[in-house]
Amino acid sequence: MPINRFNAFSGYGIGIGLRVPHYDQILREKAMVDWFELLSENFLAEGGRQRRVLDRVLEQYRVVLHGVGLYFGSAEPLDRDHLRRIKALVRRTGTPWLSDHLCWGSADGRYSHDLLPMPFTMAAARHTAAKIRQAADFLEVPVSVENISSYAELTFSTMTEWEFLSEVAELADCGILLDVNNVYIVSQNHGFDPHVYLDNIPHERVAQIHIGGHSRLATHILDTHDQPVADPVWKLYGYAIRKLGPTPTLLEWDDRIPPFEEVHREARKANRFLASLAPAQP
Amino acid sequence: MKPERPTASSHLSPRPNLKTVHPNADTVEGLRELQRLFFSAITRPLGPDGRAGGKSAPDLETAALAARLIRPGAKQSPLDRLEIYHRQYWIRLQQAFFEDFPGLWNLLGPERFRGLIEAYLLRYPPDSPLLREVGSHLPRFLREEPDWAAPFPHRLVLDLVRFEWAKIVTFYARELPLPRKEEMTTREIRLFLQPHLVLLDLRYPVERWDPEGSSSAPAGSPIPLSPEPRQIALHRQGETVYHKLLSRESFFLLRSFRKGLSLLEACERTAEKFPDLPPERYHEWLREWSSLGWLTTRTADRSRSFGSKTA
Repeated sequence: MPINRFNAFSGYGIGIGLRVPHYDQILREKAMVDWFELLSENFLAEGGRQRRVLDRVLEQYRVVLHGVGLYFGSAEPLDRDHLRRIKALVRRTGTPWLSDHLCWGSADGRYSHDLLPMPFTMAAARHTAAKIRQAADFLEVPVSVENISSYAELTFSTMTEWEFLSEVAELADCGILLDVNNVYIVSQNHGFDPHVYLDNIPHERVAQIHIGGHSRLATHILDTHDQPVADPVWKLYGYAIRKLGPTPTLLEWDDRIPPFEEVHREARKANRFLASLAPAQP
Repeated sequence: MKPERPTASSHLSPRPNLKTVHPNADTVEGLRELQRLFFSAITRPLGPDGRAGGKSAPDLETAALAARLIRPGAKQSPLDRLEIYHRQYWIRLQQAFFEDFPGLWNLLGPERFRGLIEAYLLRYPPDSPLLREVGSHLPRFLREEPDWAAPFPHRLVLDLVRFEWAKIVTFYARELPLPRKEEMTTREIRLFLQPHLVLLDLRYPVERWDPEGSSSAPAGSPIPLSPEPRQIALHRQGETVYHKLLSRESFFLLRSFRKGLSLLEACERTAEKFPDLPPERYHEWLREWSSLGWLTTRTADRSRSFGSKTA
C-alpha cells in the first residue's frame, strides 16, 4: 500500500503543482488543496520574491519537493553545490519526501536542462542507484525517482524500462514517483502495453503518482502538461490505484496554465477513482 | 585579422570521433562516452528548418550517430527521434534568454538575437543546473566577441546585457542582516553592499530602453540611444527591482565599501578623490542607503551568492 516509508507514511491526498500564475490567489485565499508540489530548482534563491512566496506558502500549506536538476543517471558525480542548496530547501520546507527524475541531463559539467533517456543496462542501474543513495543519505529525507516521458529508446538497452526502474529502486532502496501520463506516453511512443509496465514495478515502493496532459502529434506523443488529462491516462490511473491503493496524487499543469479553479477541478477528478477504493458503507 | 562575421562556430567542441569511440552502457566509462556523444549531438546548432543540418542538406554524420545510439520507431527514424531532443535543447534555452533579456531581444530583433545566443551557448554551454543562471557569462561573451553587437555600438549592447543580467542577480539574491543603529555610529565599522545591490558604470542610458517596445530596431537603423555616461545601482525593495542613478562621488564611495574598507577609510578615500565634497553629503548618503537597506556588516560569501557571476 502506498502509505509507506517512501512517502514518510504521510497519507497525502490530491495535490497540485505550485505555479507562478496562481501565487496571488492561493496566498490571498486559502485553497482547499491537500498539498502543493514545489519545483525545487525554482525555490533555491536565497532572497526575493520566490523566497517570500515560499515562506508564505509554508505558513498555509503542506508541500513536497520535486526536482529536475539532480540527474541521477548522468555518468558524472552528483553536483555537491546543488545538493547542498537542495538540502537547505529540504530543511526549510520540511518536505516529507523528495523526488527527481530517472534520467540523465549533464555531461562534463554541462547541462542540457532536459530529461534525457537512459540506456537500460545493469551498469547504468547500479551507477544511478549509487547516486540516489548518496543523495538520500546527504539529504536525510526519503527520495523517489520518477519515470520520464521519452522519445527515443537507446540501442544499448538490455532490459525494459520497467525492469530498469525496478532495478534502480531496489538497488537504491528508494521510492518511485509513478508518472502515469509518462507511462502512457512511453507506451505509445515505443509500442508496448502500459498495463504490463504497471504490473511489473514494485508497488510497495510507489510513494506518489503524477498525472498530467499531453499532446498527440503525427509521429509521437509529447509530454506538454498544457491541457487536461487525457481519457486513456485517467483509465490507466484508475488501473494503477486499483493495484496500489490510495496514493498521493499530483496534477502537473505547466504550460498554457488556466485559472487555479480549473486546475484544481481537473486534479479533483482523481477523487472518483480514489473513492472507488473506499470500503462500502454498511 | 578581424573576422568579417562573428566566429563563435569555431568554438564548437569537437565531436567525439565515431570511429574511435565505442560507446556502450556496460560500464560507467561507456555510459560517459555515450552521454558525451548524445550531448554533442543535441547541442550542435540547428539547421535552417530546425533539423540537424536541414532537410535539403542532411547531416550524414549526425544521422550515423543517431543510428548508433537510437532504435527506430514505428513512424520515426533514429534521426527523427534525436532531433526531438535537439530541438528541445535549443528552444528551451532560446526561450529562457528571451525571458531574461527582453531588452536585448527588442534591440537586436529575433534573428540577430537568436544568432548571438546560439554563438554564446556554443562558447558557454549551461554550467549550472539552474536555468536562470544560463545567461551568467553573456556579458563576458560580448566583451570577447564585440562583433555580435553589430550594427549597434558594442558598448551599447554590452551595457544593456549587463543591465539585464544585473536585474536577474538583484531579483534572486539574498538579503543579509542590516547594520544595527549603534554600529553605524562607529567610524571603524566595515560596511559591505547587500548581495541584492549591483553597481553599474554605464556609457549608455540603457535603463531607458523599453524592453516591451513594439518592434525591434531594423538592421542599419539609427542608434536608438546616445552615449550618456552614468552610474546606477540596481537594488531590490520587497519583491521589486529598481534602479537609481548615482552621482560619481556616491558611486565611488559605494565601490569603496565593496572593497572592504572601513567606513572611515572609505570616506577618506572618497575625500581624496573628490576634495570639494561637503562632509554633510556623506551623512546624507549613509542615511539614505541605510533606509534603502543597501548596507550590511556581513561579507557575502561570494561562492554561494547568485550574484557572484557579476554584471
